[in-house]
Amino acid sequence: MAISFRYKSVKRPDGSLVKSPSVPITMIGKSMRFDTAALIDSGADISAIPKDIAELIGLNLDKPVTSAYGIGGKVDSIQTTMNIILEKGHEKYDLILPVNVIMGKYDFPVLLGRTGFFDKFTILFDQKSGKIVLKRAQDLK
Amino acid sequence: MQKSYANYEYFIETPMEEFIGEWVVICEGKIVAHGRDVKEVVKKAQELQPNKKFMVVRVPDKEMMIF
Repeated sequence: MAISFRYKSVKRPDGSLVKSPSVPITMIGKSMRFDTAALIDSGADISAIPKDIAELIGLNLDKPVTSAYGIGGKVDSIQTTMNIILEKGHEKYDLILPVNVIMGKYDFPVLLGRTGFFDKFTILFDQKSGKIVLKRAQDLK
Repeated sequence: MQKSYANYEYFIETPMEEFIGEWVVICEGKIVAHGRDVKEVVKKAQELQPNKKFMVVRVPDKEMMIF
C-alpha cells in the first residue's frame, strides 16, 4: 500500500514559487499532542525540531547537550526521541523516531530525516507533479 | 474526511504568503492564530478553540536552516 501527499507551494516576495514536500503528522508528548506539517528532509541524517516545539509537547530534554552540524553551521542540540503518527485513509503508522532538538532561538518546520523514517518507507519525490509518495517497507508491521 | 486531515488540506490549498516566517494554527478549516512565537500562538489557539484538534504549521522563510 502507498499513501501520497501534495507538495506545499509558497510564493516568495520575489515572485518565485517554492514547492516543499511535507506530510501531516501528529506529534505526541507528555504535555500535549498536535498535528503539524513535517518537511521530508532526505539530506538530514536525523530528524530535527526547534526547542520550543519540544518543550510544548513535553519531550524529555534532560540529556546532555551535544552538537548538530548542517549547512547552517554548528548548533547546540539534544538528542532524544519523539512519537509521531502518520496516517491517511486506512493506513496509520505509529513511529518513535530519534530527533535532534535544536537549542537556541531557531525556528523551522519539523524536519523528518532519514534515520528511523526512510527505512520504514520507500519514498518517491515527484517534483514535477508536486507529489510525495510513501510506500510501506516490507518489514513494517 | 477526517477533521485533522481537513486542516492539512486547508494548509496545502491556502496561500500562505502573508505568513512567511510565522507559525500558523489551523482549526476546523480556518486560521485561528499566527505569529512568530510558537508557544504564544498555540496558547492563543487553545484559548480561542479549547479542546479542539488543531494543526500547527510553520511557513518557511527564505533563510531556513537545513540541519
